[in-house]
Amino acid sequence: VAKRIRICLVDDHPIFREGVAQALRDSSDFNVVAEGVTADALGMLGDAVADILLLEIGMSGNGIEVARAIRQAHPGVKVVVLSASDDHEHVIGALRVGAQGYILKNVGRSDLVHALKSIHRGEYYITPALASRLLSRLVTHARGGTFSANSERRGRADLTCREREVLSYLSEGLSNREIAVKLGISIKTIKQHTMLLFSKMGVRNRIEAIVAVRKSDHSQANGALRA
Amino acid sequence: VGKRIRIGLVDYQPIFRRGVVLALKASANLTVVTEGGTAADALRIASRSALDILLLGVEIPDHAIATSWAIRQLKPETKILIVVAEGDNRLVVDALRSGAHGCILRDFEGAELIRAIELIHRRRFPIAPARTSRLLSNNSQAFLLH
Repeated sequence: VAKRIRICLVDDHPIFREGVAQALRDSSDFNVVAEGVTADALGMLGDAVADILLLEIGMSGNGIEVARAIRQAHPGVKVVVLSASDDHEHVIGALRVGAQGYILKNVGRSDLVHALKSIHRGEYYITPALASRLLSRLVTHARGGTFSANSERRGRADLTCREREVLSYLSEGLSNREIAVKLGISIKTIKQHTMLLFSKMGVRNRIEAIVAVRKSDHSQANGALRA
Repeated sequence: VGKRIRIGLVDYQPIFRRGVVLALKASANLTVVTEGGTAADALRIASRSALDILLLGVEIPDHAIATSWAIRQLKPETKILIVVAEGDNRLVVDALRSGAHGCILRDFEGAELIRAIELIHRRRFPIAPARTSRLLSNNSQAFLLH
């Protein structure tokens, strides 16, 4: 008898968790070993041994940092994002922090089962409609030269307005608290913005972010001089 | 024995629908008579089946509002409970203006859903999310529509 794939199920919607648990129970290939809300994800993995963690990242994508933390603390556990958000920034963000799959929550039972099995075998899985949209975007940007995998050459084009604002204050040396006051939003939100910002820019902290900004401003200025 | 409440279940996430069906089995008063995944399904289902309540979870909020409005015109006897992803004030007010009887946040537990459905069936508003009920008390206009 083949070993069952052990699943840890993290989603803030209890009804959706019940749906997934039931869908997987119907198949003898899986065993849901733990389930709970996003805030408890790390703790759940401390208690249970899982092969795959299914993780909802929320409409704002702030669960991406949870995915990163889990990949760092439990490198043996595969992280699969199950999300209602089809925002390509969330998909790329999730893959960057080490997620092995990105499945939209409108998935049906058999596609979910198929996806989880292939991920368990070591493959990547992205909801096909999303993957093809992402690919066409990648191709378009590659032509324009702004969507390079090389983080140093990446422009700031794919940042949201808010992220750009945060980035500009950040590069002026303001603290999270000061930025929160300037923008009139909470420190928690600022932290979420900076985490997404860092993951998009491919940097680890604010110092690296500032260095990247300086570099790109410098090269843009040089380019302008040459032009 | 009282008549069971006939429920139509429309949600764009099939897995979520599974969860709802499972959760509603906890109450003998409720029965899910038909299911669908899109706004078009909702219209078809509502016009064909004599539903007491339609649970409506459509991905794009404005589509949910439009669908709710259309069904309320078509089948005024069917009450609508809209499933929303976030506690967005404008959305909740628009939902009530469309003739829906309530909104419920996607993060409900099974027992909360059952309670909300039973409340609506008795011609009352769902108390479901605290955020929504707070909003309702600030918008007595919304109450007056019913």
